Amino acid sequence: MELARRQERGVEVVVLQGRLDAFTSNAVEQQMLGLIDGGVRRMIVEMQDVGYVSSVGFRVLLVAAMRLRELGGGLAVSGLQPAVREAFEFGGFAAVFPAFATSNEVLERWG
Amino acid sequence: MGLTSRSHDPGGLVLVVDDVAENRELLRRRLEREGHMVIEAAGGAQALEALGCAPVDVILLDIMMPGMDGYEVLERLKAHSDWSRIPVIVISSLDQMDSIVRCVELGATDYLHKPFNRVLLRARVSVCLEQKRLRDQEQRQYRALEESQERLRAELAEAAAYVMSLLPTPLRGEVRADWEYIPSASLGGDALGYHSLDADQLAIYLLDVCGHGVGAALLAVSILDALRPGALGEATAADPGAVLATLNGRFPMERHNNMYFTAWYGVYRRSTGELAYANGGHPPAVLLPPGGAKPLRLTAQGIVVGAWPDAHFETARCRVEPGSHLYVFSDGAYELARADGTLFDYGGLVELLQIDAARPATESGLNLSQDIARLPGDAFEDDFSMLRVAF
Repeated sequence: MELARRQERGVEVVVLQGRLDAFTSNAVEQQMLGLIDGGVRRMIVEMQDVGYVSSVGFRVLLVAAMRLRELGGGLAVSGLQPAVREAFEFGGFAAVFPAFATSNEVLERWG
Repeated sequence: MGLTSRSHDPGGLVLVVDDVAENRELLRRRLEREGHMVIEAAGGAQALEALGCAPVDVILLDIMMPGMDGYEVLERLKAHSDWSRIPVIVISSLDQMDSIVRCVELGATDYLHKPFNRVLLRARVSVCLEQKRLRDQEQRQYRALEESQERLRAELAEAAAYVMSLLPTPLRGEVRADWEYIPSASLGGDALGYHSLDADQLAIYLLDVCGHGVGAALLAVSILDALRPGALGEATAADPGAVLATLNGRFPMERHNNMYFTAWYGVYRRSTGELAYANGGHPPAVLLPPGGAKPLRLTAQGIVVGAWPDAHFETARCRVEPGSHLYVFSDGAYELARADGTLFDYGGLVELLQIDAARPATESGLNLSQDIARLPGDAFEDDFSMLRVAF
């Protein structure tokens, strides 16, 4: 999937669509890591249009989040659909990157 | 004019089919001069016989022949799995365009008029030869692909069989344990087990490696080995949080092809009826108390294993009443798409577990996959693994 992006208040907002699985995650990972290499330190991943995330998909988010934390920044996800939200909670990923209902909530928190 | 030697275009084997010997002879001379080898057939029956013995590349076929005519030969060729790939040039007289069209409809590649124009003969035979070569190459590549896919399937099946061979036999006695493991076609990296730590304590565990394929299965086997009786040391093995922390340190993602895994690990103490458990990113286990009481989700704080060096894995505890049922499973047991597009989910699975727990205990073991498979439209995409302990 091609990443739609925008900047808001110094934060990179990345919009994902469809499925995040073995077929799509490589391309997404490359683009996200590319953004981080290019200087992005705070990233929000909007996922209201993502219907399914596999373990490989969560790994992409995890790797990006850990790299951003190492660099003093962070990653958050927003708009998780119910099934994806459940998988996110089971996986315990909140310890590394939080999930919020909307990107605005994230931006509020990050000031 | 001697042989025209075209080093980039070696000749092929041409079958000439014509009831008139002179016509065959004329074509033979012309074709041999072009560097081709020629077989002759005086009629349709002979032509089919020749095809059975020789690797013909191109057929020159007279339409008008007594006995089996050109049309019938074409029909026979088209119906044959190998011969249908051999290009056919039909030979006709100038006023036979209708016949030629019919031949093309029956699968002929091209046509030639009598008397033969040498240049056209050479060109059309050459094109057909090229076409045959391409078709042959395609066929070889297709077969090679099929073979390698078959090898891959066989390798996955072997890996699945090996994982299966490591799983424990059903437990019988005061505490009964059964499991169900159905690896998916792409092998999802699930593994499970239980074993006594000592006379009093029973360890129960199930894990799910991220991704699919032999790689995931290999890691699953490594982790199972790290959990085997005696591997962890007495103190650690009885402490679920410590077990996951040990695995987390021993299997960091970056040293295992970037694969993390989820794991649920519990220790049941028979003397007290207490179950201690830890959860590394795994779907919560489900405890069904006796008498149809409300199901309990057994989960504890912990992220997926191998991902985060600083991770902490909480140990939670609960009391298990006699007559309870514990179900531990991977997400392959409930992440199924239904025919109507909705997902069968964790909640739906819990409902099925309640039905299973209410069944009288039999010797036949666990068969939940069938209950799930009976739901309309569901198909297992991932490994199905489920462990049930009856207390």
